[in-house]
Amino acid sequence: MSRSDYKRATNSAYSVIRAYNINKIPVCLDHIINRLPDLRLMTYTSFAELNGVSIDEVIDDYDEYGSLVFDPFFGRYLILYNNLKSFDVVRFTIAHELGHYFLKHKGHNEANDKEANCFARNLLCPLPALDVVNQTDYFCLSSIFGISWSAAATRICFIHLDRYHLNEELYNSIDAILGRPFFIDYNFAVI
Amino acid sequence: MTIGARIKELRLRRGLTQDQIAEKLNMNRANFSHYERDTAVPPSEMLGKIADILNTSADYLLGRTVEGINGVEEEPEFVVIKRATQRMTSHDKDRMMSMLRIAFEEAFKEDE
Repeated sequence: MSRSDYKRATNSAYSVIRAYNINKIPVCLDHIINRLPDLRLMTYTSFAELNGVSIDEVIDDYDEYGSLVFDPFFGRYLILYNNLKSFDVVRFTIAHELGHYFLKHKGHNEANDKEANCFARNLLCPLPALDVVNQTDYFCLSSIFGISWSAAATRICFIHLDRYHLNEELYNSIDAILGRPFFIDYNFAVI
Repeated sequence: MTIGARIKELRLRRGLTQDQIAEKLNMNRANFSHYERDTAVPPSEMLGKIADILNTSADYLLGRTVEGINGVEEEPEFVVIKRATQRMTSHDKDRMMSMLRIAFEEAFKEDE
């Protein structure tokens, strides 16, 4: 069984933050997705209506939360996500599927899933911003970063591991734009 | 399955019209339709080009390899990178691919 490459997953998340000029917290995933011509999002509700099936059938066929689908012929991707989940869960799902996309995963296995989770927690809750916030309270982190309590708890659990893997130059370049309290926008309504 | 039937099936699965594929082959649609109706057989060079466009092999179009036979398995039309893998019957797989075809068409329709 292949092992997860956490170094690659961690640094990819920060490369995306830098490449797409993410300068606000909570991270706006739409800002990234709208700049990816080969990727689209679709809710489970739309998918179910389009195909005349129930949401339960979609969940059975795919996943409780979401799935990335690749069309090798045209080289394009579709993220299907369960929009009936809470707002912060949807955000994590989409960030997770973006992880599969940016890490160029071509199949499902546990190692890929762990890498996608690592990508998602670093994308949604970047270390430079977390260092400015200087909080370990789950409720507080959840409302600042737009993530669920359990995602906030996981974020805290992996903070040392992610810091170990994160390239210093990348941290500093993100810190220059994200690590400032006045950039943090608490009033969010973003996916 | 005949060569023509295989070409037609893959063309439809790829969402291509006869006009689109004929244009890629630098030939007119009527001549291409002869291949699909098995009233003409594509010469080997043309068969190779058709296989490339349809993202398959000339051997598959000629019926020398069949899904699940000869150790060669046809690639799925869409790859679902999901969190929980499921073993699916070919009927369920076909159903899933057909739904995904509709979803991709809808999601990317403004690009076409």
